[in-house]
Amino acid sequence: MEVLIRQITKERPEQVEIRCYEINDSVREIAAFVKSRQGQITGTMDGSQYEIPITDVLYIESVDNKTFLYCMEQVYETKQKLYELEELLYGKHFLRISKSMLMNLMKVKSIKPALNGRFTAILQNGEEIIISRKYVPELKKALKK
Amino acid sequence: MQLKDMLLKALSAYFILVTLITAAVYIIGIHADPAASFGYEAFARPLIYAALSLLPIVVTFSSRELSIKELLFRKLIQLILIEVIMLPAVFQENLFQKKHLAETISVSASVLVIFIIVNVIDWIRNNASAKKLTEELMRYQEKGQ
Repeated sequence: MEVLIRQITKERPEQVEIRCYEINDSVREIAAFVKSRQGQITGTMDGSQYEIPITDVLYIESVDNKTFLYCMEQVYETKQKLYELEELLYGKHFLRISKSMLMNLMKVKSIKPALNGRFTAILQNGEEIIISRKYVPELKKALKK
Repeated sequence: MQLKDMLLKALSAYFILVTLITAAVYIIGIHADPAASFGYEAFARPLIYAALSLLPIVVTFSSRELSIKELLFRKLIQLILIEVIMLPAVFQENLFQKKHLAETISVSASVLVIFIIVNVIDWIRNNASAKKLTEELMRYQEKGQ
């Protein structure tokens, strides 16, 4: 795939156009990356596709090789893997808190202790998720930034 | 829990145990045998008892995260093992003598009370950590908005 970058004047809208023979996973990946840089993730629910602002996502969980985006009231499925989302959302307040979860630090109401050195994060919608002991040092480091 | 974390936890618990065991020895001794006198070797007893009572902490070690049920079960095993180690250590050849039954029950009850206190102190510490994390989280969220 050839890559062309053209600088335009401010009167014209910025745009990324992908010209391809087939809309395959690679193309979708590039599109997803561009959207995530603009603060959006593509998710599906009941067969319909949605563009979800990352600021609306409370946490992201990977279960049975599927990745789910949890918002205040809705849950969407995304084709992207957890490790891909972790890289894409780096610097956007998302932090890995367990082997299968990323948490949006901006959507946490408070933290309380759980057993065996773990902590429980209470989210803005009242949900509680466990922060694994292994990831607590990373959380402390992220909050100090 | 990592092995290093377990050892650090054990080291921290050791000094609390020495204090609590010294207090327990005083309370039981002053009621059971107020006229007793000892040599300097008596000062080493709480140090030795604390070290012995820490040995069963290995039961709580696991490279994978334990569920709450698994953790509580392991804590129960830990308590039983502490009782099994401490009673012979304290009474030695007098352990199964009827005339020392009251002291045996007192020591056994003290082990239970000390076990509970150590875990409560651990909980209080975790609570303080969680409170500090929540404060840092609030500052992080204010900066991020």
